[in-house]
Parts: sequence; C-alpha cells; structure tokens
Amino acid sequence: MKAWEDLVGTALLGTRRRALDPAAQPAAVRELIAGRADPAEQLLTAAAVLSTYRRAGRRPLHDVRPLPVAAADERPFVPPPARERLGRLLAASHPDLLLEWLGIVAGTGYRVPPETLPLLAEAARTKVALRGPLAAVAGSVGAWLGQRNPDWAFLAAPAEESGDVWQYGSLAQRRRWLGTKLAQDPDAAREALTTSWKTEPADIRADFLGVLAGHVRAGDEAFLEAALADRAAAVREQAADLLGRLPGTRYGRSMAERLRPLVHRRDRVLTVSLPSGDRGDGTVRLRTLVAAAPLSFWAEFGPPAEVVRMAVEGCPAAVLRDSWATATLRQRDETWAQALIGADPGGRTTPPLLGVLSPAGQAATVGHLVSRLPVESFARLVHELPRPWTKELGTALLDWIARQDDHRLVSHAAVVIARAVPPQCLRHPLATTRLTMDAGPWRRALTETLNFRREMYEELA
Amino acid sequence: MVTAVPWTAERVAGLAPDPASEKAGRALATPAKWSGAGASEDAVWGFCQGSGKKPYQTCVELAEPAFRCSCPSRKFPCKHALGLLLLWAAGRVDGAEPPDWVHAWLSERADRARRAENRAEAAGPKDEEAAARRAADRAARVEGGVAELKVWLTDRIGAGFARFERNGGEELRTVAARMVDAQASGLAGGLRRAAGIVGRRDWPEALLAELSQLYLLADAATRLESLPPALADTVRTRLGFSVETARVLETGERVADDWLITGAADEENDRLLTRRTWLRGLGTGRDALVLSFAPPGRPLDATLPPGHRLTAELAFYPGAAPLRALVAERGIPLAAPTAEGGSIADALAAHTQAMAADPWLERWPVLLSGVTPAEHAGGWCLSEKDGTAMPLVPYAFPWSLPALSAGRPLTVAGEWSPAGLRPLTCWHENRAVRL
Repeated sequence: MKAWEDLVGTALLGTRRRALDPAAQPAAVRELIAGRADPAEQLLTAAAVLSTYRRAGRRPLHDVRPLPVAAADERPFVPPPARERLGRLLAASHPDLLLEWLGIVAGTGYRVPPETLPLLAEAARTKVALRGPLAAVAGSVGAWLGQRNPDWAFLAAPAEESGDVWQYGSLAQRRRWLGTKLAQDPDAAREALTTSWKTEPADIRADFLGVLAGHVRAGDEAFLEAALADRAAAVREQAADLLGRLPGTRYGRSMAERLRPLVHRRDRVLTVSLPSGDRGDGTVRLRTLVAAAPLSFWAEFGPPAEVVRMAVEGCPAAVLRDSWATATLRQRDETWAQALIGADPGGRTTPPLLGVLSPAGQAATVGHLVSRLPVESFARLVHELPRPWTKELGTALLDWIARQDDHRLVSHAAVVIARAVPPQCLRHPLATTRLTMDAGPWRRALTETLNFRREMYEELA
Repeated sequence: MVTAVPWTAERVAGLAPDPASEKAGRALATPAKWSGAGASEDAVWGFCQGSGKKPYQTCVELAEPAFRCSCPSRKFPCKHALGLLLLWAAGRVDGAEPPDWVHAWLSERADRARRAENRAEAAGPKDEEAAARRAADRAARVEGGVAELKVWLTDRIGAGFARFERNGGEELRTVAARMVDAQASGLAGGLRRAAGIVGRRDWPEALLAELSQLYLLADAATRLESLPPALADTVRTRLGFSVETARVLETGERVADDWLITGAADEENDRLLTRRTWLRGLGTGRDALVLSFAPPGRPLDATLPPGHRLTAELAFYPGAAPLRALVAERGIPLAAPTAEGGSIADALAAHTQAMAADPWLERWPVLLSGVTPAEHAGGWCLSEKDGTAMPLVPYAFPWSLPALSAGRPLTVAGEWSPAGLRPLTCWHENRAVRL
C-alpha cells in the first residue's frame, strides 16, 4: 500500500524536511486533507483515515491448509470429581501422585479432557516415567498432538508391534519393543538381540542386558558367557549379574571351583584368602568370585545363619558380607536373605535383601526390625525398601508409624510410606480415624495423602 | 433442606484474585481439610485446619458473592474461601441449617445493606450547583490538554519522529503525564501505548497509526458540538469522561434478552485489574461488554461466568457503537453446554461496521462456529472449511485449543484486535471450556 508507506516515511523524516506527496494518496483522502494548511496536520489526518481503513478492512487469511483429523476417541471422560483432582494434581505438581493417577486412568478406559493434555505432555517431557501411562490415557488425540509438537513426540510413537521399531526406533522405543517381545515371543526377541548385538554401541549393549534381566532363562547361558568377554566393563558386569541369576551354570561352577581352595573353616572362624591374579586388587577379585558362586557352595561350612555369623580372617569381613548379599540378590535366596538381615539388621544391604523375601516374610521381618533397631535407623531404612510394596509390608509399616511420636526422621519416613503403600492399604485406621486437634503436621499430611490416594481410586472405580 | 445449586469449578476458579490463590485453593478443596462444612440456599461455610491450633472460620455468601474468613490473608477471596467453594462445587458439601455464627454474619450483612439504602434515600438531592462547577472545571482542563496535544503532535510530525527511538519513547511518557494532569485519561492511555510501541519491530508504522488516532480524537474533541450526539458521546468516553452508573441505569438504552456469556479476559494495568466480560444476546444478536475493575488482590465481578447464559436486562452506555453495558436486572446463570456462532466473513463485516461508527474501537467480540485451529506462516489461526481463516494472537503456550479440536471444527468465542484473535472460550462435546 504505497499511500500508507509514503505517510510513514514522511512522518519519520518530518514534514519540514520532506513534503507529503498528495498524488500518492487516494482521491478521497486528497479531498479530505485539501482544507488543511499545515502539512503535519495533513499527514496526521491522512494517517488517521488510512490506519482506520486498514484495521477496519482486515481481510481474512485464505487457503489455509487444514490439519489432519485425529482418530475419534470414543472413551468417556473421567468423572467430574476425577477431573477436578487432575486440576489439583497439575497445579500442585506432585509427579509421583500424578503418575499413580495416570496409571489408574490408563487401566479404566476413561480419557481426560483434551485441554489438559498439553500440560500433561509438558509434565511428561521432564518426567519420563509419566510418558507410558500418559500415552495410553491421551489416546488418539495425544498421538495427534505428538505429531504437531516435536517436544511431545513420545505421544506419537509408531506402532510398536511393527518390527521396524527394532531397526529404526529411538532407544526408548527399542527398549520397550524388546521388553514386550521378551514377554510375548521370547525366542524371536533373543534372535533380534543376537543379530544386532555386534553392531550396537557399548552403552546400548549394557542397556539391553538390563532389559533382559527381567526375563533371563537357562538357555541364555552361552550368550551371557560370551558377553563376559565384552570390551566394555559395564557389559561384563551386567553379564556377570545375569549369569548369577541362573542356577547351575558352568560359570557359577567355575567360580565355585576357584573359590574352593581359598576358603577354610576352623571352629567358628572362616578363613578366606584373597585370590591372586595379575589384574586389579585381590578384594575386587574376591567380590567377583563370591558374588558369582552359587550360594550352595557355602553349605559345607554350615547353614547360612551360622556361616554369616562366623569370625572372618584373611579378608575384610565387610567385603565377604557385601558379596554374599550380591549373590543372594541375584539368586533370590530367601534363607540367605533372612540370615544376612539377622546378622546385621542395620546394614545397608538390609533394604534390598528384604525384597527377596515373600510377602509374609517381609512383614514378619519388618516386625522384628522395628523392635531391634533404633527408631532413627528404621526410619532411614524405610526410604530404601524395594518397591512395589506388598499389602503385608504396607500394613506393617503403617502400624509402625501410627505408634511413633514426632521426630524429624519419622516425618520423612511418613512421606515415603504415605505414597508407597499399595492401594489395598488405603483404608488403614490411620486414614479413617479422625485426627485429634494436636496431631503433628506430618501425621496430618500422612492422613491427607492416604485419603487423597483413596479418593483417587474411588473416583475412578 | 433447600440448598443452592453448586457452581462449576470453573466459575469458582474465576473468583481467584491471582493464579497462586487458585492453586492454594485447589489444594484445600479436600474434605480432610474441613470440618463442620455445610451449605444452605444463601451460603457455604466450614472450619479449615491451618497450620495453627485454631481452625479458620470461613463463610461465603453466594448472592453477591461476599466472603468472610478468620485467616489473616489479605487476598480476597482467600484460599480458604476458594477451597471451600471448590469442595462445594465438587458436590462434597452437604446441605445444612446455617449455624449461629453464619446466621449472625448473614443478618449483619443484610442490616448493613438496609442501612446503606436508607442513608442514600435520606441524603436527598446533591448540591447540583457545585457539581456543575466541577464539571465545567474539568471540561476546561481537558480542553487545555487537547489543545496542547494537538500542538505537540503537529510539531513532532513536522520535526520527524525518528528521534523517538533515540530517547526510547521517554518524551511520549512525559506528554502522557501532562495529559493525566489535564484529566484526559484517554489521551494519556493512548500516549503510554505509543511509548510502548517505540523500538518494536515495525514501530514507525504502528506509532504513526496510534498517534494519528490520538490526533483524530483530539481534533474531534475541539468540535464536539458539531458532531452527531452519539459520536460526541463516544469521543467524550474515549477522552476519559466517565458516565455515572446511575445515569446509565436511568437513561441508557435497555435491552432484555437471554444473554450468552461468551468469554472473559483479565488484564492488569497500573495496579488496576480489569475484567472484560463479553455477552451475546441470543435473541437480539446484540454484543455487549461488561467491565469490572479492582485493585490487585481484590475480587473482580464474578457474577458473569463464561460459558453460562442468563436472562437479563442490560443498560448500554451512550455512544456511536454502543458496546459497554451494565447489568440492570439479572436472572441466575445457567450452564450453556453448546453455543452457535457465525462465519469469519460475518464477524469481520460486523467489526468493519462497528469501526465505521467508532474508529477508536480496540477490541471486538467474535463468536465463530465450524472453525478449526490450523497453522499458517505467521503462527496459529482459526480456519473455516474452505480455508478462510483469522489469525490468532501470538501467545506463549497455544496448545489447549488445538488439543480440544484435534483437527475437528469447534465453536470459539474471542476478542478480535489488530494483533489477531484472542480465543477466550470454546465449546467442546457439550461443555464450555475457558481457554
């Protein structure tokens, strides 16, 4: 629009330096400003008319190409109270409770109001654990958004059943594919893994062994043994860990054979010599041997409860105990776990070892620990208990904390307990009994969280 | 037990003085926080356990609404009142007879209202002579300001305004301050806007547009007597002369209709919150704008929740394209789960017509049906089936509207301005969603 540009140019320079060109103006404007003598007034009048004309005469955009339409989502919306709660969860930024909420919704066949999806996607961008359940809840609209916004591409992952994911997918997609495949078609999964194994970078090889950990079986021995000779230390460690989970492997037997000449018992003293070798220090090599040898190796020295209490000579006792714990975790041996916890209840291996016990065993052991450990140590231990917790363990911990007085560590443990107990524990008396007016803030918060979570489940039932 | 129909959570959230209060209120909207909560036809009340020993006593009178809470917060309504209302909105407060402390407060308020009414009646006619003198004084000062602005504007255009960029618009702000002294707040506001333009991309053309509009206003102000009366009213309003509420109610054009509350936008300027609420008459097709003002931390009018409709009689302020109105008589807002809008071409045509009557019009309400959010070179837009589209204002997180649409057409209400369309409300699967 030349007339308007002429006005802007003249206004910048000033009418004293540059004359307005009336010929550039439309006839109607020329007529309107003819009666004004001052060039500045002429310019302002013309500009007022033209700027109003430009604003009032805005034309629509044309030929805008439409976006594709997302597949229809026929699922019903979450009920209004649940929608309200989602608002609170997003406002209060409780990623762990949001994760649990999304997990419940994902199992129900409800969908969330679409206007909440962008904020949920933003939350999942930084908190990766939210992505899986969110993708399920967000459904076709989520996938559509994921195609629009590269930051949310995780919502638009390609169909994972297609084999292409394994060849071309992102690491996260390939991990998911491998995990699913290992559960559904274990042979095909292993074939895919061995075929591409040599071409994968070291960190991805270690990563995939981590995925295999949940599915390892006897037939994997040869593959894992080969991986013991891997160039990357992380891969070798993972492979040793996985082999340790398999009973009766050649690897386990050979470790036991190498351990045999190093161990002697005399009365109540266990003498363990450090193995010699040309690499690393002796305690490191001892750790590898003890962690990898079958726990049945120790039977000839006595039952586990007796062996773990013996005096140790020849090597640091702590190294031996740690390595036993590692072997116990790998071989999921409940008797050894009980023995090790009993010998050193306050030790740092106690929380993971509790995870080896059966639900009833866990609850009973926690009951013992409560009476044997100082409150402070027990409260610290709560943070490290492996999850998910069973109903029995959750109840035992709620019973414990219900009896506690105000203490900083107790209040920290209360936060963990309130969030980690399984849904079957949410009707515990702690949640349903009315609080007294003098109840401490942590107790109030604990009750609130339990009730908040219970309401989450009820609203989505 | 007669109880009021609970409001929607959106309507409660609309009362929050700021986002932090809304967030805090949501955190309190859980039964575990409350004891002795109840709701009647007129009020909702309860005790909220705070960090102290003594729980806070919270009560909301629903009609106005009015709030009372024993907490020390200066926010209004406080988070306790918001939490209580949200709990009620979620259907978690049972009907009950108001306890004594609630009853006492409600009757105290009713007494005070009666007393105020009596006082107003007793006060009798005002000193009309003094009022006329004050009005004449003000008119003279504004006239002086207008004359000064015209001289200054022509002088600056003569010298060229390249210099504005060098002093960052400081000179414009100085002149704005002089217009405040001259009690011409409309001119001052325009100059402050102009100062904000300097240095922006393409600032010379935006600044020329703004200043030429101010010149047009100042010029019109010098010949008010020769303008058609409605346009003269518009010019006076734009200059900053306010029309008394009582006069609008007495003499303003009255339009009774079933009004759809299409949207609300809040803005903060110079420590003053403004809420613009847009209404569309379902029978008359008339558009209306209801303004509410409050200092930060005080509540804005929340009696017109977007996505609701109410039967009401509006009284319009005088002007060439009357848009601003007061609610004279009102019914109860009811949720409006669907809405019917028009086409982009019609909306732009209506805007053109309104601007022809009032060239200083800044925003125009738009209600569009069958539009789909789409991307174009400059950002997001709302597109009709044939590719005709209106650009949206650029905003930081533009995703809720596309998420609601997912490629399907929607009904959207918003404000149209030179910067683009600002969406305020959208209707999706039988509910209104505030954006």
